[in-house]
Amino acid sequence: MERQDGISRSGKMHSGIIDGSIPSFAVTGHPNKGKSSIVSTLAMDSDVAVSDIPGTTTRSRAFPLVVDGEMLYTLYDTPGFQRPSAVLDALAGEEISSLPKYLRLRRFIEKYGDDPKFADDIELLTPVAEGSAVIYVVDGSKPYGVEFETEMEILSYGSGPSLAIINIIGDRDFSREWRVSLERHFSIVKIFDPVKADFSQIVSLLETISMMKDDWREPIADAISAMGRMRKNAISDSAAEIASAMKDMVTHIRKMEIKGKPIREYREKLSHGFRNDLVDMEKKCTHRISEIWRRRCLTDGEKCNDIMSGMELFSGESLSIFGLDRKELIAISAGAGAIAGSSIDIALGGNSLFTGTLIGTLMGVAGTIAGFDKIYDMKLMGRKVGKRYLQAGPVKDMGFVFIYLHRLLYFTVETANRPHADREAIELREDIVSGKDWMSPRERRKLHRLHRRMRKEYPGYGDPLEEYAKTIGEILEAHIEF
Amino acid sequence: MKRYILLKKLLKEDFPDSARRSLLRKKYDELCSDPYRLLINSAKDISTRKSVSHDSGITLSGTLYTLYLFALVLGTITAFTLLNYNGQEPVNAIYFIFVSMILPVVGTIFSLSILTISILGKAARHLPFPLSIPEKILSSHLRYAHEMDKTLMASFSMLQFQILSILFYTGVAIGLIADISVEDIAFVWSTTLHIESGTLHSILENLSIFWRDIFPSAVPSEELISKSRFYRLGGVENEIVANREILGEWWRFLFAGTLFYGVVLRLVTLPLFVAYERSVEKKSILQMHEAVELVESICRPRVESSSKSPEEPLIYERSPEAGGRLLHRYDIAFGWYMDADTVRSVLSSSGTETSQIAESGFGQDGSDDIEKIRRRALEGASIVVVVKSWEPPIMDFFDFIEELKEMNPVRIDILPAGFADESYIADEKDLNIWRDKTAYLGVGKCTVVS
Repeated sequence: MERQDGISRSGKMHSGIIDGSIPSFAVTGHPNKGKSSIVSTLAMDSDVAVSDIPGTTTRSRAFPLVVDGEMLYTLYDTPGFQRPSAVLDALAGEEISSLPKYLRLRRFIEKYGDDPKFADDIELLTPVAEGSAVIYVVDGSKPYGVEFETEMEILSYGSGPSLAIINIIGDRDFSREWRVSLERHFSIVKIFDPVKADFSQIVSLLETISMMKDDWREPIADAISAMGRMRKNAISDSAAEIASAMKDMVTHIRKMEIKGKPIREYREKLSHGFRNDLVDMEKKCTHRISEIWRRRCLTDGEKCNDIMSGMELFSGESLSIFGLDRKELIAISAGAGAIAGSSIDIALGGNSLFTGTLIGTLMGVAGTIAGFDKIYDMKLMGRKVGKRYLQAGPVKDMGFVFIYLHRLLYFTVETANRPHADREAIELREDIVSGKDWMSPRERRKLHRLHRRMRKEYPGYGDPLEEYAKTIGEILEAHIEF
Repeated sequence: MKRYILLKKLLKEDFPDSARRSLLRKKYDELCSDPYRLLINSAKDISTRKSVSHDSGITLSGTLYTLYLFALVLGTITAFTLLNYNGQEPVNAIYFIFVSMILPVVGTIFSLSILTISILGKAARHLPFPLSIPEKILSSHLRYAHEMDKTLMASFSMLQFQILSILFYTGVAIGLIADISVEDIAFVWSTTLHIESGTLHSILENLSIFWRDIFPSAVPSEELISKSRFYRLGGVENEIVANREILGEWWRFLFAGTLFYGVVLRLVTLPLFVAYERSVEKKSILQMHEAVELVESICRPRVESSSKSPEEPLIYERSPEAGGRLLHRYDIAFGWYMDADTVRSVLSSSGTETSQIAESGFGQDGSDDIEKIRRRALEGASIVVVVKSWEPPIMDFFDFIEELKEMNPVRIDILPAGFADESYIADEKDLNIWRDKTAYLGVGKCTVVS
């Protein structure tokens, strides 16, 4: 039976996957040395199971990098060695010792493909036997041990090129002693921390990998270029999301009809609802940004409630008559007055020089201004025509608006800059978020003006969203590598 | 505009398939930071390769060239009309000055005002008459006119109006030269307003400010102005007739004025209209739905890197056993990939004694270890196997333990040892890993101790 990634149960790989023209790399090593973390970071995939419990990976999984339908390279996440001594023993067996090493490895896989004793080792060695390059991973924070020589010796049976990565997982550093040993088996030895690596380090590793074989330079260079463009696009998409979220936030209004109860109760309820609205908006935005960067949402669950505690939310009470607020009713009254006045002008054959229209308009406006509150109390068929509302928002505190923006910027930058192997939640603590120098005073002034334009407080042409997103994009580009 | 139309046509009718887009992507990777240039280059590339018929472009060019010719001819005819002179009544130069100098100045100011409003404020979508004339004519001839960006049509129309004006006044200048070359024309000036010759002279001198130093003969002298004043009452007076030789001198001024105000002034302002039209065209192209799609297909790589096979992680049950305690004495101690001296130090730091220490694991061939074990009398013995706590247990190790168990020892303890500088005390997390794996495999008679 063949698996979806082209590796059969017996360990035989689909011949079409690895024919040498497409680079493929098997990330191998002892259990718990960060192989899956390296695959997750290089494949930009947060779905690779990363755990500090050894032996989490039990099957080889292929992660093909496909750009516009074209496969550029494939990474194999493999289980750790379980019986290296027994494997080497079998490989050195007398009956096949006359064969070249890579054929002996293939013969071993054919012979023991269904033996549960070698299940993990067969999974690991199948891509190696089929010609994948070997990326051997060791933990540089743990001392070198002679037992690793067995693994390195087994990997020398592969026909593809090989490279070693020293992944320093802990606080200690034994990379020097590792290097001495690794350099005896591998032509390239590189230190790489998949959990802390920034984009340039990932690119540098891929460039190093591309040097393993001449034919691989072009596809890997294409992959690097595609990754860079993908990040740039993700920056502009994130900027558009932030701009949209900021517009929702600065224009958000929540109203509640007041009926009888003490106003304090309404205030508390409305305030709670308004804050929850903002929290939901932030959550929705961070979720979208996580999707853009192909990650699981990394917020720590800390909401922005704490930063809203001192915020002035209420714009006060407002009245409506027949569902219309004061301004709308004035406009309608002015129109009605004008129509009534103009009918007098028409009756006089235009001799009144539109005096009737003017007077009608003025009367409509003045009447509504003076009588709005009285009309509000009027009853029509036993019911009051007016309604009283308590309104929260839009947020007046521009300082808060910027704190909110900083949180979204921080989240985006952290999401973008963290490698996919880093699964720690992003802390949106106020001191961390605001500690960064996000923008120049000129950019801040511009965004402030755009916030006002979003609320139509500031004259300007066109939708400010596009300009806002552009400015946010520039700010993000200064903080994110691409 | 032609680029816009070509691109519109290409994108609507000859949109390259995905394979072509993939080729384009490879070719235009470096242009992705400039989507406008990318689109223009792509359009050129596709049209060259596919030899696209530019029917819309031809229609546009044809309409425009017809309009240009019409403007030129109209200008010439206008000049002939203004200079219509049959020897009976002289030509009033004021008419000509109005049409060929005052009107262009007013027209240029008007066009510049519309342009300024368009640049500063919202881009104009509809132009006032007469700027809208080219737009109306073009709209009825262009294939995709109804789908075109109105702002682009307006800016294009504004630009075309400037070109048509230039051609019109070029025609006027040609008509003037042609007319004065083939017949004598007596220019006079006539007005009801109480304007003295001196006042008119100073007005005309000011109008000639741009060429009076270069072509002083193209500025009418006070004497000419004075001698060419004409009153219709009484017909052609003897004085006018007497001065007929100098009345024709006006042509130099009229020609220079037409050339400067009708042609040069518009030529000077033309780049502003060209630049505005280009900027609107660029914006329109970049906002075209199909163009955005093409740029995205070229510049936005569809990157997939996920595995198609599902993850099947191994989840251990946490071992309920707390682990055993290290004894004070063992019959034999094994070091798993650990030399005898280190084993001795580990046990000594734990206050444990042993009579024998053996190294294991070092042989590539597992039979070496088994042989060592067999050589020792292990039946009924208590065994401790010291391991590196930081290295997770693998099946090679448990194979070794199984071999030990076959010798029927009384107990086998596994002692994960930490680093020497931490007195060989293992990290709790590492100890749990050893306990869990041992429990998971159900290795009987065997306890992880600390």
